[in-house]
Amino acid sequence: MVVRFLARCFLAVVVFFLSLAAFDYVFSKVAERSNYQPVEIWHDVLGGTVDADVVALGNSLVTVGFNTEYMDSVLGVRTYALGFSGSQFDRQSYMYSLYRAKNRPPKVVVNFIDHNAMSLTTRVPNRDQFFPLFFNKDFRKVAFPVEHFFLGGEVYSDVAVAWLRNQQVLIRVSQALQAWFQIYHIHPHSLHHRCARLDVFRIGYRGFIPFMGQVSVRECQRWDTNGVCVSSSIQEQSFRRRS
Amino acid sequence: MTFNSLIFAAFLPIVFCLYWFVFGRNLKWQNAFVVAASYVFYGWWDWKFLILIAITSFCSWGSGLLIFNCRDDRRKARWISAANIILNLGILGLFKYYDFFAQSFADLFLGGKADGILLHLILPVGISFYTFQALSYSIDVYRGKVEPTKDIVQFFAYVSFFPQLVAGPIERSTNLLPQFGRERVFDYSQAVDGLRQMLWGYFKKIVIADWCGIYVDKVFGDIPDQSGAKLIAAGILFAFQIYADFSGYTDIAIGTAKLFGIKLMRNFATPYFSRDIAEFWRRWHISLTTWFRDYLYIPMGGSRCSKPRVALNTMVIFLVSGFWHGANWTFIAWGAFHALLFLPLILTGNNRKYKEIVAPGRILPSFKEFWQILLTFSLVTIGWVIFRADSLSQAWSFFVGVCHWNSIGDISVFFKDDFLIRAVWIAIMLFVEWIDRGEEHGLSMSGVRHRAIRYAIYFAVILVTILYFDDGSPKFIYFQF
Repeated sequence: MVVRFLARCFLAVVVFFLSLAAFDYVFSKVAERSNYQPVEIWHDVLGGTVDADVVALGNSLVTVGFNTEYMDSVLGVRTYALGFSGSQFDRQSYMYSLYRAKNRPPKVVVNFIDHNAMSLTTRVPNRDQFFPLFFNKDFRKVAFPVEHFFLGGEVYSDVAVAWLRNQQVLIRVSQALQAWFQIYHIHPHSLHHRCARLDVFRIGYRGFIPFMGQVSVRECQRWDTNGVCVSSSIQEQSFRRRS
Repeated sequence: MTFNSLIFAAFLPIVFCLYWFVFGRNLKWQNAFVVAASYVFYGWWDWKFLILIAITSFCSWGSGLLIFNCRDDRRKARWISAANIILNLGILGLFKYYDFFAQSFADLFLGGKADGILLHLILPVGISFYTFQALSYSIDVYRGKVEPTKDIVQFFAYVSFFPQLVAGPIERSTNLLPQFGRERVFDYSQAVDGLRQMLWGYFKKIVIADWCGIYVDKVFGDIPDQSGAKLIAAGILFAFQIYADFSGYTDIAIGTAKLFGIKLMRNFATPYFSRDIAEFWRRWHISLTTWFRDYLYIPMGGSRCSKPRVALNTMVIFLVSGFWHGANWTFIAWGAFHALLFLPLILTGNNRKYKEIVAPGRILPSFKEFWQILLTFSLVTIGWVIFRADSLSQAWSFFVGVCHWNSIGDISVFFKDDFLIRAVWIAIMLFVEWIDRGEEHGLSMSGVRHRAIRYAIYFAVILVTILYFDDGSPKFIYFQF
């Protein structure tokens, strides 16, 4: 009886994780086809379709703050926002080298730097940006060989046993859902410059329910104490234009 | 170690396999293994406090034997029983209440300067639970309700059985002790039901309680800056947080025990579907309520005495019950609040009006029942605010904030995502528990005959629970008691 019980439990667990893997695939593919900004950028970079004279390189400062339409009209040249959300300088540099390899080199690169970009960490924040691309062959080809590219020393890079991988599958389902929700609702970063009180999003296992609560602008500014936050006048104009 | 940790996910299957495959053939070894596993479970938090459990277990076991040997000399037996009670309550008092009394003394007589007299002892997890469980044994032996066991291992297993060691249910020697005295046989259907109950417990803890806790902590951490509507939202969410947290723990405990062939007593019976406060207390934390009833209320005379005495007994029982939860005036006020709600019912003889589950055989409650349930829940929620507050002044500022006319109009709080999403999960929990309100737990699946639908529900619940799971998630609220 005990053996039968254990066997059934084992079978249920296997079926459960197989179903999740299927879910994961479907959600990833749906999210990949969306207009979720980080995904679009990777598609552009890997597809070799960008033709820009000025490239703004950086993290989400660029993704959120660099309005290409406005810049095109002001400068009279083609610009492209090469934002890599949450990235440090080394990853930005890697992304730019991919960009150069696949696209026409720009005439000017403007690198937006903040304290995050200068920090030394192997962790990649905002992991959700990759999950829609997890089943994309081109992306896997460029990203997988780079050590700790995805999760920076966390479980996935050392995956050895099946269930650990499946734990990541669960996370990815969650992240894909989160990405999916953000596509159809509102991107968290776009709130940062619009609200007096900011909505803070928790990105993690609970991904697809993004609202955690609210903190004041002052609280957010406190997070920036160990670095320099560059906020150029161009960006400010860009924000004003957007709002 | 807590139920909502990854280490427990590894601990449980190992203990399960060893329990049935290695130690299953010999009852003594099996009990010894239960004790060892339970001590590992508890010692994972802090092994030093195992000494306290061992002292409590040994003294209660020894006093049981001594009381039994002195059964012809009631006076001597009474002294032994009293000594054991004093010792156990002394340990409990030292760790849990000493600083509270010392601080109160200092506030009254020393102008609040208590630095020299406070001990700042760490409160051992679950001390109130296992102390009461051990006490019930020696009192039952004294009363002749149970024969003492000579088997010390059996008794240690009774006190320290890991599923219910740190937060109950507070078992009785008449129910749990005999189960460790007879051979356990693996019951397949009981084990499956145990897994279902565990799953439901995890859902309540991880999806409802932890998630509501984030909202509640934030609001209670900054009461003066919150609108009245937000305070009300937090009060409601805390009512569900504490229910989901504690009943979730209980479901996991009872479910885990079932895997080991042990049946623990029921601790919750859908209390938020109660039609009055008396019914609520028959359905909330049943093991503690009945403990106080049997070992305090009835010995004091219970309800079979004059009305002033009944009122006094009721007041005492609720105040003690409140104080049991912790050394804080808020718990005492919470107990007093419930006593005031309960007194009219007991003095008018209406305290046993609703013994059966609400709306038996019907899909929905009647209009009257619905409003009764809503009113009872509202009153209970007011009590929970006092319970949750760090101090009476904080509770007061909460109520003042709620009554603030200008801010109560901000009902948009109830339509924001952070409240709505939680409300949806709570609604799902209530729906499931309403459907199975006559059953032992919410996921009994008594009405679902098709296996495919059952499995689909299991998978959905597991998926949601794992998505919400965080290995660093908060401990169960009742661990602190």
